[in-house]
Amino acid sequence: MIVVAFIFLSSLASAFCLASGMARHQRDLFGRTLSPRISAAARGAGWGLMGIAAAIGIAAKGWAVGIVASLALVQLGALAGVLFINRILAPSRAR
Amino acid sequence: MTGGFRQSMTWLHTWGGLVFGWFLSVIFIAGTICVFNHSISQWMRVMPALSTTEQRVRAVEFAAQYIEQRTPSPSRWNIYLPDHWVGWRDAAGERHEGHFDPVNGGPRRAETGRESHGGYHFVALHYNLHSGFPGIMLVGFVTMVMLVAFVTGVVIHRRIFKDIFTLRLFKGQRSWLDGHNVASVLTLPFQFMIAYTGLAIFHYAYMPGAIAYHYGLPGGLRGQFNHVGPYFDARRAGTQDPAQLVAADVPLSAMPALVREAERRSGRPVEWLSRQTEGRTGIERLRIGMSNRDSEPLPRPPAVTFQIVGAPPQLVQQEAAEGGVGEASLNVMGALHEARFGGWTIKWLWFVSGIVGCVMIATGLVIFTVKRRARGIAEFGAASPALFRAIEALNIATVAGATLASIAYFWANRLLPLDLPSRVAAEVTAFFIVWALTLLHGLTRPDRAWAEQFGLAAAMCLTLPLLNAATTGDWFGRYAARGAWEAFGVEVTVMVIGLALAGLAFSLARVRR
Repeated sequence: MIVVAFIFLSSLASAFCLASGMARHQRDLFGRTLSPRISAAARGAGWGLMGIAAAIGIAAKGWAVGIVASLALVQLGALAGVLFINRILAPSRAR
Repeated sequence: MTGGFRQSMTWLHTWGGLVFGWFLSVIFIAGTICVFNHSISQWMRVMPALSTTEQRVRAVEFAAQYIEQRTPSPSRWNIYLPDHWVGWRDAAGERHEGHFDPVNGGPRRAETGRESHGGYHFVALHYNLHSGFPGIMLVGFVTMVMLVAFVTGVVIHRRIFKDIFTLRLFKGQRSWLDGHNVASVLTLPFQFMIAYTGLAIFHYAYMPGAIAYHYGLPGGLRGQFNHVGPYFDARRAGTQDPAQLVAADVPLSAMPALVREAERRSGRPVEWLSRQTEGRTGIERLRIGMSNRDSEPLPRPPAVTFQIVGAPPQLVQQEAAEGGVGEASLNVMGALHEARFGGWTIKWLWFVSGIVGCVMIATGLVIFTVKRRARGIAEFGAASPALFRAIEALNIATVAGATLASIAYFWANRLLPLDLPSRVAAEVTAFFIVWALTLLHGLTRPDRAWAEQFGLAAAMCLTLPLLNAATTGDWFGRYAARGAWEAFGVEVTVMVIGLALAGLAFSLARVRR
């Protein structure tokens, strides 16, 4: 259960970082675009967090079940991230 | 050329998605629900869970008594413990079957089980639309079109990476398209896996060539479906010398002690017992099968089956057939598709991902009509209004209607009289009657039907515990009190779904106004 929560939170954070690396979502979230270096760092952090999500899954449940469970959680985490970003963090701009 | 190619892909995605989306919506709703089909069966059949070895050994004792009181020493018999079911043949070779009470003995009574397909209704709806072998072929074809829709969808999506996290809400048609894209693109690996593995499980029906070449097709395609081909016998046989596995000559009353021994040796709960004549060798076999359901790694270890041989009778563990890489791959495909590994974690992930799949299909269907209404597209000239109205009604029936009919099936299970002669079939009939009514409703009130059907489904989900308490005296609080967690989970999950559907109904009602 705790493992699932950790993988999900890493996936959610990963989606948030990846979105923060994109100009459209920077405008939605921060009201302005960020410098290319910060954008690249955000994208790097996003991929890193996705790797951490996979690593936690594999460490806890072995290669076969771990990869499958992590992949499912990364997808759902990204979806939750999209809802979070567009519905809660930047609803006024999305409207 | 690129424009032309993309245009033809758009046409294929639009029309293939619409016509096959009607089937896919129902298949996905049923498939999502049947992740929990065993739990739903437990809720519907009001069956006590057999959770300890002592309970299961006693249940086997009652099952044996049930058979022997009707046919002393039958030549062939079966006991399937999860359903409390027994079947046997009498001296004249005639088949009998029945349900026993696993707690008090004797025939099943209302408090310890009611006749029902339970969650299996959703399984059957999912893989063959309750239509037998032709249904399997139809679902297979629909699934192939789904794979086509994945490819065409990726081709026509111009900004697949740029828009990967984009969801512009409250913007009409734009929002439906964003929702469809986000749901499809972000969970594409899951949806693709589900479609592909779904086809792979039925390899013997969809790609029968290899099996036919090696083993022939004695019963035709249909015969393969019924698992009577020599292929399946060969797969099951294993490497042990069949002559040494002749059934021990023991009465049914010896079974409880043997079951206790089998559970001790395997560490797994017993699932079935049978005494049968094997088709391929004509040898009499007496076997105990252990459950292989949850919390398993990938690929799943072979099921543990014991043969009961010799005098005094002893348990010999049946060796698994050597299937090679193909068998192992099929094993992984089947486990992936049916969430038969990784325990409850995977079941929940599959359930939520399945809901996202339903959203993907539903938003796709909605886009078809929303787009045409917004742009005044009328491909069929004067016939367009009537045709679009029929399309809207089918969208309503296959998305909102199938949802409503699914919860109506839960209600039918509790409301239909217990002594109704064909109760099991009547529950399924109730599902189809409600479903047909949702189509009529969609035809007559296309503007309001979405909100009304989701609203009614929400109300029925949220009041399910009240209905349950009124008809059986049970509700989620009492399930929790006596530790019946699967039934508890079903009822609470249905209520959470009800809340979500209520929110959906309210926002749809607001949008329409």
